[in-house]
Amino acid sequence: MRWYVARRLAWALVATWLAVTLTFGVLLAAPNPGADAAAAQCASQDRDPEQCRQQYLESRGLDRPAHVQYIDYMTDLAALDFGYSESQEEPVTAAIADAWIYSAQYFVPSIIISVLIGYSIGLYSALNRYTLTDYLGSFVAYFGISIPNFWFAIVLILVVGVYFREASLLGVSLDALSLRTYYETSYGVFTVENAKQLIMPVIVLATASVASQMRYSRAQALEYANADFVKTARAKGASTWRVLVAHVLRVALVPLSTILIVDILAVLFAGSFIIEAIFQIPGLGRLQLEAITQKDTDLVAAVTLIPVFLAIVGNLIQDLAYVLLDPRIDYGDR
Amino acid sequence: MTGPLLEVTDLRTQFHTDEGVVRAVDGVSFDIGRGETVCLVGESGSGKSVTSESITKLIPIPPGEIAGGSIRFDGMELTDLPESDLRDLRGSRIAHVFQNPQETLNPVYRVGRQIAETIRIHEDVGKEAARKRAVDLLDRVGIPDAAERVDDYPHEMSGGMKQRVVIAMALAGRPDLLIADEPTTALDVTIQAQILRLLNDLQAEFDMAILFVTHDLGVVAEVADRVVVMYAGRVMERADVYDLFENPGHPYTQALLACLPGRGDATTAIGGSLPSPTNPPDGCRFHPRCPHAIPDCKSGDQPPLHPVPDPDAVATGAGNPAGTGAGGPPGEPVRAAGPYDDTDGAEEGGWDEVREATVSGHVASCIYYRQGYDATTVRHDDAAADGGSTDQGASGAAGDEEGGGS
Amino acid sequence: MSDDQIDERRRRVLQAAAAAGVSVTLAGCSSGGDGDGEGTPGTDATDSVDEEFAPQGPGDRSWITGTTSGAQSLNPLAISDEATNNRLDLLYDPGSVTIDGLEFEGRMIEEYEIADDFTAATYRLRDDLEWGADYGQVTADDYVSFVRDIALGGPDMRTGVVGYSQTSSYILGGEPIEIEKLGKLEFRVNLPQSRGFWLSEDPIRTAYVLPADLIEKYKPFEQREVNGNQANVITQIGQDEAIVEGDLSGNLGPFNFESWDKGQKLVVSRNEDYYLSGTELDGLGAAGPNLEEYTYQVFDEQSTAYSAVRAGDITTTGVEGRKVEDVSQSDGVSIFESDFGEGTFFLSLNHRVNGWAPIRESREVRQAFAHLIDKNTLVDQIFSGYGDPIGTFHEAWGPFYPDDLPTFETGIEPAKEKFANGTGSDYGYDGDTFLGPDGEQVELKMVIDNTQQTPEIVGNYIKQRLGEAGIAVTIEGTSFGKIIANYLQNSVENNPNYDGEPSFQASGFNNGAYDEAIGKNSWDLIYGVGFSGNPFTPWGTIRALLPEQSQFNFMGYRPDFDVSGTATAAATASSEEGTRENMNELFTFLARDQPLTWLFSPQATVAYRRPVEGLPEPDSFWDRPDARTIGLRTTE
Repeated sequence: MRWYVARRLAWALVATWLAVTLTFGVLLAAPNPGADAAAAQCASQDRDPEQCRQQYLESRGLDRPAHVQYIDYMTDLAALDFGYSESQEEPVTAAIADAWIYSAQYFVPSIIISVLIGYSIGLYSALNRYTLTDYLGSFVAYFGISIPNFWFAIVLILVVGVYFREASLLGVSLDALSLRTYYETSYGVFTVENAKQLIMPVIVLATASVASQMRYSRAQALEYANADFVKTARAKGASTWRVLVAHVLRVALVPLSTILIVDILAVLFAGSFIIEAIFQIPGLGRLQLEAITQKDTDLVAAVTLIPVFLAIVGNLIQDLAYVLLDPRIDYGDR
Repeated sequence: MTGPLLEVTDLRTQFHTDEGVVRAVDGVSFDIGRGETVCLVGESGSGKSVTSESITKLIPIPPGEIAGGSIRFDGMELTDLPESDLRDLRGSRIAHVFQNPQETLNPVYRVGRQIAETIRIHEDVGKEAARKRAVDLLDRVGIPDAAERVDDYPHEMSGGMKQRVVIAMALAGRPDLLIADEPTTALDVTIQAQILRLLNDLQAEFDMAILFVTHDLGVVAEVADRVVVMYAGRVMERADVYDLFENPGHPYTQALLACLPGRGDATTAIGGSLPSPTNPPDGCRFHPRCPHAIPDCKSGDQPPLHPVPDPDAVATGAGNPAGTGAGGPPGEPVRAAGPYDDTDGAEEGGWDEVREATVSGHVASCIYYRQGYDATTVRHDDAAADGGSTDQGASGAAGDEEGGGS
Repeated sequence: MSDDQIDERRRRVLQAAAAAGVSVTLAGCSSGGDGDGEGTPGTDATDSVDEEFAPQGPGDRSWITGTTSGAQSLNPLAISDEATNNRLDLLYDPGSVTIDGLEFEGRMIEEYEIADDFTAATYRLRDDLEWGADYGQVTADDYVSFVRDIALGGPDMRTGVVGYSQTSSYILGGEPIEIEKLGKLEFRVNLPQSRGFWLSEDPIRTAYVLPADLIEKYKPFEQREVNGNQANVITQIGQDEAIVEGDLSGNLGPFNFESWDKGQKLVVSRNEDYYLSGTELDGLGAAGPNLEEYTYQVFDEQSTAYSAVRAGDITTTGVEGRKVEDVSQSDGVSIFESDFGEGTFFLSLNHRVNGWAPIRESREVRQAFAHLIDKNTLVDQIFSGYGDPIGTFHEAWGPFYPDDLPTFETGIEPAKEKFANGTGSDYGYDGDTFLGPDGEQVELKMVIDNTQQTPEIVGNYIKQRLGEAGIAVTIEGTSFGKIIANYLQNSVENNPNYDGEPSFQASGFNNGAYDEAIGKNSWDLIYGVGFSGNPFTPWGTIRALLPEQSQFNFMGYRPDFDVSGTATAAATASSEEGTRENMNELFTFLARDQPLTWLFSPQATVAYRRPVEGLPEPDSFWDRPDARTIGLRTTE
């Protein structure tokens, strides 16, 4: 088992290396608007545009042969030097360090909430099929997944940020329920104001992934709801709660865990660009977007690594969790 | 108050499906006395499992529901008992053992913990104490090295061992009634014998009544005190085990027995198949497959349970429609009335007659045992157990032979 | 609309607004600073600075401007865009600011004289200007060093070691300007050619300079490594501690640097030492700033900014004409409207061989487009009325807009007539359909930038109108980047009918003559490409876009008019009238020739969350709230 973990970790490194190389290759092959801009500027000043382009490339070491640049980059990486970000005007590690905190603030609650709510609705629905609550739960979940994130975010801001501040319901002003329209970075992480301004982004992101959690847990729960061991548990006099959690959920966790991490990561990463752009949260999503649009090579490579690495580690955790959760499985002989 | 531990009266359990209402159990009655073993026999689809699960309402509700009847356990009416009270009963006074131990045990928990769960649900006992009791139980059910094996996972045990664990789990609450639904069907024959023996021992030790659901007549012969034969959701015949085997009253039972190897024609299969569960035939459920069916069998309701006369009594000509006893010496026409008999004012075909034939009665749901019909038609066949069936139709049904069907 | 020009303006246009108290007249501005419906009237000099301002937003941040683009850097030498300029404005004052057209108000430069023949200008600095970070007083040395070493790049002007982006403004007709020091606070600039509008064009007036001592630190100039890359001098200076920490501004700007998240947020706080603080400025009352703190908050998503201003989380943001109604729905939102928006919008026509031939062959056909398009309708649809139609390549309110422009009556019939007349016998109308030489209906291809809403509106409208004139249109939407790559950029390689070298190559956008270089894909009309020009010095953009061999002439237009010469003549005229005459001629020609279909120029609309005092009366382009930051304040 230990051997298995060690091998997987080694593979994680290999996979990360592959990902970085690929990213590097793509960036190398892509046209460089910085060079084009430099050339254009020179042309407008009656200077030789080609020369300017050359200079631009030279000054960044971009005119060296590909493998030289690559080796340089990889050796830096090994020393954990991720380079300097032009677009952020600070070292890449600093830029990422600043940004990840903001991302984590809405990411982590989103994961927790979507799992809790998703699983709850899924389990409950499975055991109470065709009831009103089942339909309601499904409706809410599918609503969340069908609504485009960006539209939902914008509308939420409009309703909760703008309308609530002005409107009143039955004579009572809704102002107290209103929230900030955008994310203000000067609040401390653990303050009430910060928590309040995270509510909307978390809602938007969580609703997007609640549905998939709900669907999977419902399917799994259904499969196990009529299983014999569940009947046994009931025959033992177990309460519905105990049956649900200790038996159905616990066993369903085995297959559920295989989709949990990767699925969540996928939805959340994809959604994070939009959330951050609309709510103006200076997190990793925005950083990534800026890095790509401004062709900030060093930053792009580093910031691409993050989800790749998380996915790889997530997969590993998932597989290990699988073993922990299901005693019938043992990687010992692999 | 003493009385039967479990009294099931006219139980009806239905399932609402897309194809219609499935009457899985359509008017089943029987009793179980303290400490005795009653076998519920029938083919697959006869409703025996549903019956056993209806007692503690283990059936999925919805789509299932107990549509009628009464289930009294130690004087308590279970059909309208609130769920929380039912939960108190389950596992502590009424326990279940199911068929497939591989499925019955939760694969992710250790066996000791699963046994202890039963204990801890009903008693305020600490983990350590519960675990100790689990070890004891495992030992009691015959698992060697119980102290080590208590930490095994189900998949680390053989089929027989797992079933012992299941039994241990069921016993943990010291139940008064153990409902075992085909507990040995999934096991090897040799293991089967061991398990049956174990159950026997445990029953004596724990003073448990057992409701044993099975389709295997061999098992019935081994363990049963009394037998209830079900077909298509209804009781066809009820008798104590000796009566049943020596003197089967209902054509269905006779056919079942004829299928047993060593008795009758080995190739005598029962033609036809089960009736549609949503749309059962009128009259006697068995009539499409019964060799003795007459038009009267095909209309109306399933005939009520009529007492089956003692063949010895018949042989001596003193046929007594008031039921036969558990077998007395030949020549004794009058059966020993059981303590629950109420022969005064018994009306034929009525509720009282059902009550009357309880516990010690041998009854069958066949029209031939009703007054006005010649019971010898069906009895005669059985008496001539060496094969062949001479059909002497009762009045009005000359030559109607419906031996096949759907 | 022409400039109600100053007759007296001549040399002494700039005067001290200091204790001497002679104030400059602001054209059309109401005196005394009465807000006209924009806030509580009354400007007590006493209560301006002391007033407690109701906080809005987090903490006690008192003013937040929402914007969609962030500053690229806070290096005063590296200004590449307007956003950066706006930020630096808060920290450093320029030499002078424009009040209106050619009227200026001094900041760092106290006095300014221009020679009668417009070949030299003399500058005198204020005496009380101090750099921060211990660099001492601002002197003429700083300007001299700036012009010689930075702007002109030192002796190695052309090698790009310095990397200053505005060098071309210091080179006239191929010759650099000369600067000489006259005294501690005085210097003179000699121009190699006469420039009638030097006042408008003068880059020194608006440049941000640095202490000579600081620049000295980086000599000899050479490329050095900065953050892993070889960098030019500007970048090196940009890493100087004084600049990065924002200490350099001393008393030179209304605000001090507090914090900066690049691309996110810039926070500055009131500079108590500001040299202008307390001074009476015409129309502003006492110069402030009155705001304790000023924040620029970048928004990636425009709608969030609108929601924020409606909710009161920010104080102000620019708002598109179309959205004005929505945004003003909220209580407490007021809109500052000015007729003086910047920019001209036009429909590009393809004059190259991969476009419809009649466009380049016939002026009448081009005029037909002008007839066809009802510009007022477009203005209504796109800007909800906050815009004005234009007939030539100039803003409707622009100082050079000719009084008498040839106009084209809006209508389908005149358009059809010109389509028919301009195309000769090969083409003709069959009923309502306009047929080409192949007997089929003429079909034009229109490309729009489909990432914005406006091009879609314009595209649909034009398609509809051309349809009414019997011409079919296929619209292709694509991204701006692809438009550049596949349509605007051109080369002889894309032309199967041409072999050999092109007769000239100006740039990737004009890589050969109209029949030599063409783009990857064919096209007839494009909407979504625009050029920002300076309405007060329009010749630069014209020279870059319209002459046949100009740098950005992607259309392949061949004017039969000396565009280049006339524009240069306007720039270098020795009198204002000379300039005006030339521009008039040029614009009139462009109106008649319609190389591109001129459409409209926008008005400016800015939303404010609360009544704001100190907003200027929008009587000229220069009456922008941005320019009046030091006078603004909120009232509750």
